[in-house]
Amino acid sequence: MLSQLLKYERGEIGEIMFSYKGNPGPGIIHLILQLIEVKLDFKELNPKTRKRIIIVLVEILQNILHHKDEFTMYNFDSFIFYLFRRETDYLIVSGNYIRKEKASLLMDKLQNYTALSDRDLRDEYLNTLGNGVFSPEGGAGLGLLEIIRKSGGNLENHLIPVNDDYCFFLLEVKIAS
Amino acid sequence: MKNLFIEGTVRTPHIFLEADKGKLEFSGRSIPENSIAFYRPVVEWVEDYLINPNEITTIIIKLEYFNTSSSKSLLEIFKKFESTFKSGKKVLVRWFYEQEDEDMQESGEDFRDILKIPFELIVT
Repeated sequence: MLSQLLKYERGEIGEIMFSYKGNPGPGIIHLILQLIEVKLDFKELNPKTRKRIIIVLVEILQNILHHKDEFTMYNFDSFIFYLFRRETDYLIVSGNYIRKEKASLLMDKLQNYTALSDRDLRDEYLNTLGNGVFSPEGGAGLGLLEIIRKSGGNLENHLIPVNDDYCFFLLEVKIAS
Repeated sequence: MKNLFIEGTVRTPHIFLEADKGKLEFSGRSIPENSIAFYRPVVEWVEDYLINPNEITTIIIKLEYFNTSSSKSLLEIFKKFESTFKSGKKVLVRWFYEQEDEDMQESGEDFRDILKIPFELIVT
């Protein structure tokens, strides 16, 4: 897995349009979004692709912000983020520390959601939108579903063990261009 | 009852709620980190408005994009009009989206399929 991190860093899997390492504070998240939006305005002519990238980015970044904890906030390099441009798609990579018990819940959710057909995925989304409640962190429980819907299910995730309590969660999402 | 005007920013929508005209308009983008806090004044305004609503209420949506927590907040606001509609008042949601914008079309269809009030999808 470390070799994968090096590949990101060296830009071996695409043109690095944006990269960030640090803490996922609210100011940083919005700065990242604004900078990427400016870059996309220059680099991506298709407004549909631009918008889809932004929609997915917002969900990924705000999910990380909503689920941050002290470990994430006070460790330097606790969050990595890349946006790669490639021939036929964009690759969004995010990585953050996550408590092991939360990680297994997240992996289960991802596995269940990505196995759904488009129709069942929409039904799940509508059911959560219509009947779900806000989490104490202010999330609507829809972020993962939205990321899967907008990427057409083109995503991969990996867990890297860190210590007894935490692992590092890596998410790769592809948006067709 | 006073109108409510919230100026838009790069993260939050332009909102204009006109009690005398029965017109509620949302435009721009909506990606606040805390959508519950952002939409609280809107929810409060709507609750006051619904004590004595107009014969006709039109909700106009011209959003560019929004995050999922905003969609939850917007749905909760729109749902408040379901009982008004049931009681015989006219309520209409007019959801505008650009021709090529499949994402806003899809979102409009999502809302239309959940809400029990008249809902128009309008291509611009």
